[in-house]
Amino acid sequence: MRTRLAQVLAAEIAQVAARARDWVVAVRAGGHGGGSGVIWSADGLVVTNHHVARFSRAEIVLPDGQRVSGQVVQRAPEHDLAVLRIAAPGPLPPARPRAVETLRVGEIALAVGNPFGQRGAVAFGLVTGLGRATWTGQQPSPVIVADLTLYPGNSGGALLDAEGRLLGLTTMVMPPGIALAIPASTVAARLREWGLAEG
Amino acid sequence: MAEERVSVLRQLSDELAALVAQAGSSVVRVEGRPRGGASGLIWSAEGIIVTADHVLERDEDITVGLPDGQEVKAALVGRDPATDIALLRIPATGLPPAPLTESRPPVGHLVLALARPVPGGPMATIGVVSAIGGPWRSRRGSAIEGLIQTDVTMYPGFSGGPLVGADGLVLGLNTSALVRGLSLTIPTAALRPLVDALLTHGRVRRGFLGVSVQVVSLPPALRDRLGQPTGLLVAGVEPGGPAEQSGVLLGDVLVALAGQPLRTLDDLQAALSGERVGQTVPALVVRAGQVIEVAVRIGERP
Repeated sequence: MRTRLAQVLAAEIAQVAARARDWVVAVRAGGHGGGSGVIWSADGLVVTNHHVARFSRAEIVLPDGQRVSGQVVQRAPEHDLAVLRIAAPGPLPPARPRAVETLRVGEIALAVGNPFGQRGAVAFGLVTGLGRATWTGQQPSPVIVADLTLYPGNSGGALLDAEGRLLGLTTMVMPPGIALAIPASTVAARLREWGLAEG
Repeated sequence: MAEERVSVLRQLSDELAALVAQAGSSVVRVEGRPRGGASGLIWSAEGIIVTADHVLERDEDITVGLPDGQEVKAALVGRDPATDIALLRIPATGLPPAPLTESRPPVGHLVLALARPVPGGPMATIGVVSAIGGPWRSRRGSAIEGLIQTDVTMYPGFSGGPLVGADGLVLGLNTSALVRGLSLTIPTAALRPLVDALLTHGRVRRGFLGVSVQVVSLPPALRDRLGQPTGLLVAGVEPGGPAEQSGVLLGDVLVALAGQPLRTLDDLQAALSGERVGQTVPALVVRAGQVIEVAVRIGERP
């Protein structure tokens, strides 16, 4: 039986996910559960969801298992976004963000995160739509809608394109199974406003 | 990062995105209910739109949002709640009709559900064909051959949008209301006659006798003589209905209608096709052990 394409595809999905595991972290803010986060810069900026990093500090579990303390340096509840600074033990491999403007509905999307604490779990699906959502009852903010099955603990984790670039932070699973993500562009724009990233 | 070849995953991703963009040009937004838009499919360049019946909670003040952002008022051509199909007409020409295929997708075939429930770009979910149904009968007298069941997620407003195969051709119209909780698609082959009927009559006509029946075994002698194992016992006759007016009695066993044997409920439904409405046809009935012929005038299902 000839399954060459399926095998290549399977290997490539595994490879994209394995690379992302280098920069997807676990975020523990005490209490129940915990979530996921993404290493944004080599010098130790970690981005996650506002609802994951609820307090001023959180424990960050790096891909190699090291636990470091993270300090919340900025948050934007209207985007469900929180930024932490960690004392990096050395240069960290950051995510490669991709601008949402170039994203097309129908592209393949993968999620990497820590559902129910399972480190680096992968979900496979599709970019369903590009829209706007309201997190805090204030102004709506752009979101990526994805056809992916996510679970508690995926929050703050990575939504990836077919080449492993960061499309956004998976944020919330709606009742029928709609996964929403904050676009990486939104994260980048807020970090620039806060002076946490170069323009 | 080192220069990389374009991966198969990336090629697949690009193809799917291109397919969504292409097929999405025939998918419109339909606003006909208070709690949010749904989807529709451009059937003809001259402004015929097919959508799901249940997403139209009113007959007037229906708006169609075209892929280019234009908003136009739509007139309801007709609706068929039994199959959850409705037809709209919009004042437009030169629209891109959806490319259709009547081929039956194999189980396991990769499919996309496309929709446009909100202004802006299309939406898409992906999955596979889970099963192809046999003749599916609704309580309201419709039968759909080859209903497509998939595992695609149908979000609110996905009803009325197309199911698209990997070749970009439309396999049918999605509905989440035919059977709650299932992602079902009315196949293109079943869609065509429904659309034609709605265009001609504004409704889908179905024959009607006004009887409730149940399948019963025939005695061996009758079985041999008629060449069928079962018939349909008349367990109820609607007062004033076509059957009563034609002299069909409670306790009769219907064994044939218009020359077609009646062995099962599906046989009866097939015999009561829309074009027979108003016709008087012979019915073979077993009454008091005798096979007699009764002339039955077929009515229209209300």
